[in-house]
Amino acid sequence: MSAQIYSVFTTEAIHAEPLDYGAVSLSTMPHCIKVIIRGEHDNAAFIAAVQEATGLSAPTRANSVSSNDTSELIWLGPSELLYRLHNETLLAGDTVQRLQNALQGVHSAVVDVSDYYTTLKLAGPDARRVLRKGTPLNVDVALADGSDCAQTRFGHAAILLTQADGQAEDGFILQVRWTYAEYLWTFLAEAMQEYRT
Amino acid sequence: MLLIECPWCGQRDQTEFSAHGEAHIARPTETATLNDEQWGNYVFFRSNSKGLHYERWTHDFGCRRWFNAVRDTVSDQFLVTYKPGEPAPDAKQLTQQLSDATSGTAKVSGV
Ligand SMILES: [Zn+2]
Repeated sequence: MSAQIYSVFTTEAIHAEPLDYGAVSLSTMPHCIKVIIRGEHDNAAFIAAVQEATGLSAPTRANSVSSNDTSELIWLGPSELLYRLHNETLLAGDTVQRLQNALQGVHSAVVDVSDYYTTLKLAGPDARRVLRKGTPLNVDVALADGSDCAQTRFGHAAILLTQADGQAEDGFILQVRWTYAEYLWTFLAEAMQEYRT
Repeated sequence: MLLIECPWCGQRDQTEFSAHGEAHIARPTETATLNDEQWGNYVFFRSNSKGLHYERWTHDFGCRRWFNAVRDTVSDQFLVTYKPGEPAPDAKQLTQQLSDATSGTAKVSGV
């Protein structure tokens, strides 16, 4: 392999320009507010409070997302939701406060994890093929519907997979612990090489 | 590739899971009155069965929840998985289902 190819496998590359190979591209997503909300999903008071505070209907199916233009409520487990909010002026602390106020008196926990994770976007017609190279997940089944999400593995990294704008054709959003971001980026960059046009 | 059925996420690759030993081992209630042998039996001794084995698993790379499974230690086949708190499926019934399935008369659920 040429030195030119290796140059994308660096920490600097993650923060630099997106990799755009035509049929597949990789980029980092703008920072967003991320809040873990714990509470039993079969507790009606919990669901009502979350819906009131987020303005979103809680996802009722396992591994599904409910979203609007600026926010997502993601199923992570039978007692765990992830709230992602794309807003450049709001503070994560204020969002946590808003949720805690709504959940007052309801058995729950709200934790700000905004800086704990990084999100990457893998897009293009060959994105699905690249994704298959690192995950044992049956992507076609697990992400059959636009509102589907999945927590799985890419190489050794634990990832949360969602679909950009609720459509896999528009790309996959991979959320990863930031300490694994370089690993994930370099793995994806290497996996993308064969689809380079 | 071995697929394991998470009670919440459905079928996922075995590499997303890890095993945590035998299930349904109740902690003794009167721990202060136990002698060393009884305490040792609770802490260290397991059934080590050949055949059906009830065990605890976690879906580490998925929903990260604990669940229980019945696995055949000879064939490595998972007969059924179920949520914590749900009663342990009857071993005789599972064995019957398994023999029906291998003779082609019925399908084992969760496999
Ligand atoms: Zn699961």
